[in-house]
Order: sequence, then structure tokens, then C-alpha cells
Amino acid sequence: MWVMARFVWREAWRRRLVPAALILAVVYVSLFRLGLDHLLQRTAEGLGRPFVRLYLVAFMLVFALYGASLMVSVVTILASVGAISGEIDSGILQPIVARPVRRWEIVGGKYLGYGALLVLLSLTMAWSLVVIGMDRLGPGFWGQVLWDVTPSFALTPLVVLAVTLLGSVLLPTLGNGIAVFGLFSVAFIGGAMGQIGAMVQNRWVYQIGRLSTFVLPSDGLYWAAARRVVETLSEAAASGGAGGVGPGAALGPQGRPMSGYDLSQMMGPFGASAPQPPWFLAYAAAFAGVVLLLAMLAMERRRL
Amino acid sequence: MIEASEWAVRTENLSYRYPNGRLGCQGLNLTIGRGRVFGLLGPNGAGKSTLVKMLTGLLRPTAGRAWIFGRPLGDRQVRRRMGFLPELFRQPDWLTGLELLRFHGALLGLSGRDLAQHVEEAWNRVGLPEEASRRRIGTYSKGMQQRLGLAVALLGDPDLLFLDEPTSALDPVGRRDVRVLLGQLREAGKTVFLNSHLISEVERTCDEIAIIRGGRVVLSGPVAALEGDGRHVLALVREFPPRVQARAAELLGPLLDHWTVEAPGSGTGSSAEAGLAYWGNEDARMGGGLIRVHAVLREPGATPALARALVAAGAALHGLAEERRSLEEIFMQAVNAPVFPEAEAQHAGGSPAGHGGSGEGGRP
Repeated sequence: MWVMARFVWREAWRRRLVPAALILAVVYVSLFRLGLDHLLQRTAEGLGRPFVRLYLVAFMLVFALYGASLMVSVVTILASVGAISGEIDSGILQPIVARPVRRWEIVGGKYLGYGALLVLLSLTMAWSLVVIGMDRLGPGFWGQVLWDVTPSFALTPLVVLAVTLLGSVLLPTLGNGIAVFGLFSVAFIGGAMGQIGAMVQNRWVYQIGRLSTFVLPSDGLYWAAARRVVETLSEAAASGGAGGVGPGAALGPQGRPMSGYDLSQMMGPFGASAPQPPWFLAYAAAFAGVVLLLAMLAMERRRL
Repeated sequence: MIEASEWAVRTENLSYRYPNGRLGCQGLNLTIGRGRVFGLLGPNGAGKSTLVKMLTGLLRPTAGRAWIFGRPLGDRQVRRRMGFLPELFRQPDWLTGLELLRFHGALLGLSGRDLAQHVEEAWNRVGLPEEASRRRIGTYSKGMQQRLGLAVALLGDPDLLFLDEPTSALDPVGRRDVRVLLGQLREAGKTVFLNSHLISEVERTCDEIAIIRGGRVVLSGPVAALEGDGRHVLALVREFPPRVQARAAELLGPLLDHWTVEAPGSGTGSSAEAGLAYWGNEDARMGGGLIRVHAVLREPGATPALARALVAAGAALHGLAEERRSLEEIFMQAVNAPVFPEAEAQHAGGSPAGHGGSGEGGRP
């Protein structure tokens, strides 16, 4: 399995997947930093209200995390869509399968190889965004927000990768791309629907959206992270721990103490109004594990 | 019958049915002795690659069983002793040649000095230039990639090699190198399973062959025995009227399977004709004046009996030689290849004399 993982790492490097993803991440994070600083500068000049600073940082951070989550999912799909099917079509895999390796080890090695790289990319992006955002609020609760995003952003590429690998074992590359992007779109639209449904208190839309996050939990993972970030920021501000923002940030726009719910409502659909069940992270991890197991079993029966 | 300890590959009613219901192989029974170079021949779609894929673990048989070195298919210990060059393959072009061999060596469980030694041996054995070892495979020519594929198959000094069209991308020099390599492998006691469309290649390199068609083995055996089995005899006679034919057939009795009689001037340039011509029989060379009797005997060694019967029956016998068929003839006969339409048209429009004097007879 390690031999296969090293094979994937070398391929990712030689095919410039790693440098391309790193450049993309640097550009994305830099854009976030520029935009956030510009906004804060303009707003501080115009309003000077601490809660606005908190609101802007929270909104921009959660929004940027959304983009990062999307980017990680898309990079995961593009990188691994032909991991098995493409190598079967090109004839690369046949001499490998004839070696004394178990077929499931090939899938496991690919998962390990791509998974490690993509988790690294995902966490690098998420942590960079958090550090930049929290730096604009002053010291105090970086650690908590970093912890808020870590499980979700570590699991997102692992979930998408498991599904893409299963598709790559079962389907031709093009069919797999269409199927996985289709699933991803369902989760994406469903996730947004769930948040909008919760925001406008439409139970039917909320439930449909929520159900869709279980089909492919990648989008649900993002919303779980966003919810925790919003709660942490609200609580920290309310307790006066928002560093540069200061205790004044505890007061909302109407001058009353601010809660996580207030901030969430103010941020519209990005306020993550619809909470995920507490076991959602465990569900996502189990989902990735079961799908990976299915991919390994399917590989055992795959005609080559 | 080969003893179990002496065979490398054995299949028993091995079959594969594709999900669409098409049979890839059906009821294949093969035994390949250790240290033999075995050639698998067959027309397109006959099931050759399906068989190779089953034996190398790429496809799971839907019926039947097979063993390699006495172990069932898929056994990991046996796979350590196998090398495989697939028919359609592409090497990962982002690796260098050396990295690819190291990767496959690692899959074999080799490491350290052992790995380096095996990699060097395999590289040198296929005649790839030293400077190419650190170049990306993407920069290799097609022939170099084929040689690299061979090096991958040879890695770890396997006891059994499956080579699926190993010379398909090679120039004449490369093909000769592969023939030399196969000879070296035979001398080293390795077993080679060669799947090829090139009959001449198989004829020159293989000890044994099997011809499959429609997923079934239609002919198998040692090449030398199939080509000159002592059962096919050409006789040149001046006249061969039905009365003489019937008498000769009666005298031969159960020794004769059948014969084909060809009119004068319809010589085919067979090996027997060439042999007779070599020994001074100008009629055979010119193909004129004599009737050709292609006799198929039931047993090898019955040629003298045929000569006696023909003479006793009253035929004026001018020459007699055992026919040695080329592998191509054997192959075409075995697969009963259809005649191309244009060839068929030529035959139809040709001189009736070419066919008129031909016929089958003497079936006792």
C-alpha cells in the first residue's frame, strides 16, 4: 500500500498537480487577505463600530471557507476521477495487478496517496484563512477557530475522494466525472437549500436540504464547520475575548448583547442557521470508510 | 502425460463468459511443461488475450480451474515467480525507466541491494541504452517502451513469463533480440507463454503451440510433430483412375484416412514437392504431367505401406515424400479461415482444369 501511495505522490508532483494546487491556494488566500483588509479599512473609516468589524471578519471568513471547501472538492474530483479507470484504459494498471499485490491494496494505496495530499491542501487553505481572519480580530481565540474548521476540512477531501475512487472502479472516467459532479451538485444545492430553508423558516425546504447532505456529506461538513466558527466568534466577542475588537463587540447593532444566533442571522445563508446533528462528523467519517471499503470490494471483482 | 511436478501451467475446462453473454473462452484444457516455450495462436477474437488475462489474474474465470506451478490462480507466492507483458499497455510517462523498474521491484517485495541488482539485470537484458535509464518514459520511442515493458516482465528473474505480442512495436532488430532472449530463457529453464499473431515468430521460437478458435483449443502439440507428423504424404503418379484408387485404398485398409487427388499442373509448391524437385524430380518442380495424391494416413510411419499399395494397385509411381506443412498451413487449416472474396472470385473465374481434376477419394 505504501508503494502505491508513493507512486501517487510522485505522479502528483511530476504531473504538477502539487505545484498547481499550491499556487491556486496561495492566490486564493492572498485574494482573501487583500479583500478583507480593504473592506476593514474602508469600514473602519466609515462606521468605526466594533461589531461591524466582527461581522465583516466572520462573514468574509465563512464565505472564503465556503470557496475553499468547493475548491478542495473540485480538485479532489479532478485529481482522482481517472485514478483507476484511466489507468485501466491506458494499460498502466494491468502489469501492476499481475504483481503479488492484493487489488484492495491498490485502491488503499491510491486513497492514502491522494488523501494525504488533499488533506494537506485542504487544511493549509482553511488554516491560512482562519489565521488571516483571526489576526484581524486580534489574539485570543485562534486556537478554537482552528479546531472548529480542522475536522470538517480534513474529512471533506476524504469523503469526496472515497466516492470518486468508487466511481473510478465502477465506471469509465467520463461517466465517473459526470456521476461524481452530479452527486456533488446535489449536495451543494441541497446544502444551500437547507440553510435558506432554516433562515426563512421553511421546514420543507430545510428538510430536503438536510437530507441531501447525507447523500454526499461534503457540503454538510462545510456547514458544520461554518456553524462552529460563527458560534465561537459570537461567544468570544460576547465574553470580551475578541482581542482588537474588544468588549464592545459584544453589543449587536441594536446595542443589546450579541449571541451566536444574532450573528448567524446577520450573515444570511452564510450564517449556517441550520445546525448539523452532533454526530454528523462521525457520520461523514463512517461514510468515507464504508465507501472506500466498497471501492476495495468492487476492485476485487473488476474486469481488467 | 506430464507429471504434476513437471508442468508450469495447467487448465481444466477453463471458461470465461463476459457479462454480455459472449464466451471468451470455453472449456480450455491445456498443460504447459516447465521450461517450454509455448505459443498461443488464434485469429482475432479467438480468446487468446482472455486466456492470458485469466492466467495472470486480470480476469476471474467464470468456470473451470487452473493452476500455475501447482498452485491455484491468484496465489501471491506464484505471482512472485511470474512476469507479464500485456498486449496493450502504456508505461506511466511521468516516471523514468529506472524508477518504473524500482517501483515494480518494490511491488515484488525487493529492496536495497537486491532491488538494485535485479533492476540492473533486467535493464541490461533488454538492450536499452544506459543514458535512457534516467530519462522520463514519455521521451522514449515506441520500441524503447516495448523493451522497457519486457524489462518489467523480466524483473525478479521470473520462472514463468507471459508475453502478449512482445514484438508488436519492435523493428526487425528488436524482433531478433526478442528471439535471442527467448532462446536464453529456454536455456535457463524458464517457461514462456507467448501470445502472438506472428506465426513465423511462433514457428521459430516455440516448442509447443495451441491454436484456439471461438474460445476453444482446436489443435495443440509440439511444433515439430505438427509440422512433420509423418501422416501427410505426397505421391506423384502418371495415372490414377478410379479403379486403381479403389484397389489402393483397399490394400491400405485402415491405414488410410483419406486422400486428395490433384490434376497435373496444379502443384502448390509444398515442401514435399520442393523436396522431390531437389532430388531431381523435374516433374515435381515443373508441376507438369503427373497427378498429385496427397494422402493422409492414420498413423505415422505408414509411408512404405502406401508405396507398396500404390504400386500393387497398378499406379505408375514417380515419386513419394512425406509432406512437411508450415505452421501457417496448419494454422489456416485449424481455424478454417474463410477465403477472401476476391480470391474466391479468382477461383470461380479460373480454369476448370485447376479444379476439374481435383477430388477426394479413397476414404475407406
